Amino acid sequence: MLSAVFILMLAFILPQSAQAQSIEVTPPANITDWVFNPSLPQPQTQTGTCVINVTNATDNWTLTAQDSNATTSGYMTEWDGSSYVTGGAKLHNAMNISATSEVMLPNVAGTNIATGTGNTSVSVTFKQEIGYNDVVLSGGYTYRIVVTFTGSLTA
Amino acid sequence: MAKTKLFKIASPLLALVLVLSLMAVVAAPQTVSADTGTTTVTSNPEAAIDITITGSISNWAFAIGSNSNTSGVDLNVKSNDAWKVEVKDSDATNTSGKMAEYNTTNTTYEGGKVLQTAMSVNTTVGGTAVSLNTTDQQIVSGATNTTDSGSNYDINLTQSINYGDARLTTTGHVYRIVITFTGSNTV
Repeated sequence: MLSAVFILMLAFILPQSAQAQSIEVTPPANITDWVFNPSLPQPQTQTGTCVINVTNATDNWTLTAQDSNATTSGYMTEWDGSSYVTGGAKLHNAMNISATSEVMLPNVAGTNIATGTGNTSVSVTFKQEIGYNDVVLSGGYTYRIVVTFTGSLTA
Repeated sequence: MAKTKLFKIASPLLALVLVLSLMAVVAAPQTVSADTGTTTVTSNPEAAIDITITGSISNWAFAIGSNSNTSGVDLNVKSNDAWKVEVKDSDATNTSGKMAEYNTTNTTYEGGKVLQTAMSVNTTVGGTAVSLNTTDQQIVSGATNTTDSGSNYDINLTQSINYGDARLTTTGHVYRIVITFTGSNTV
């Protein structure tokens, strides 16, 4: 009787251990002082790498890129070094993020930019269209946006 | 007596079950179904300007007096910061601001005749007309950025003609000058 209980416990414990999954996302490095110039071919691009690590080689995942800040909402916005400037300038075009597919920020719907299986490094391209109507900022101010990359395990 | 024996047998097994149960709770890996990370992007556009000159004037029929043309040459300025546009005559050898005799067949300045008065340039929106010479002179400026499609200006060219300006009679000879426009940011 007790042996049966013991076996049942093992039967419960072992599968639970095997089913555990996790995902870890390492986003592309920050991009500092990206040089924009409206006379260059548009959109201007910067490329980074997003690293996806999962527990099992067979784990499926999706990757999204979003701007979750209501102040910027997809548009690089005037930044004084510590906060966004109230009523400050914004670039006229939203930033696009591209991997195997492309989204325009803020991407509230959470459309995927990549899907895959197992550990992978995803090449991510930041695309920004610049026009002559995007004013040059003075006084050490810059345009800024924070892009959130989310990796999710899928069935 | 029978109860005591059963307890002695069961006790180690119960302890083992208890330990394994705790392991199940404590040691079982946690499921993490999503993870996030952020990338911060900062930039400031470089000051940039792009000017486009369209048109030219051919066979301008001069009369004695002041001759003006505002439709032959147009200027488009695109700039993301304060800017200015200047004009000059880059040919210090043949013209230096004054239209000179030109052989359209040989495409060279020859014959030696030069109009007495330098050409004047400004835009139709105003500004003082500058008398062309070989140095840059401002004809229009802006304190801020333009729209993305730029700002358009009609260039006003004025040429004074006097009786002392000889009419050219050699076939293929005309008076000619080339104006150089230069746009720059003023920051």
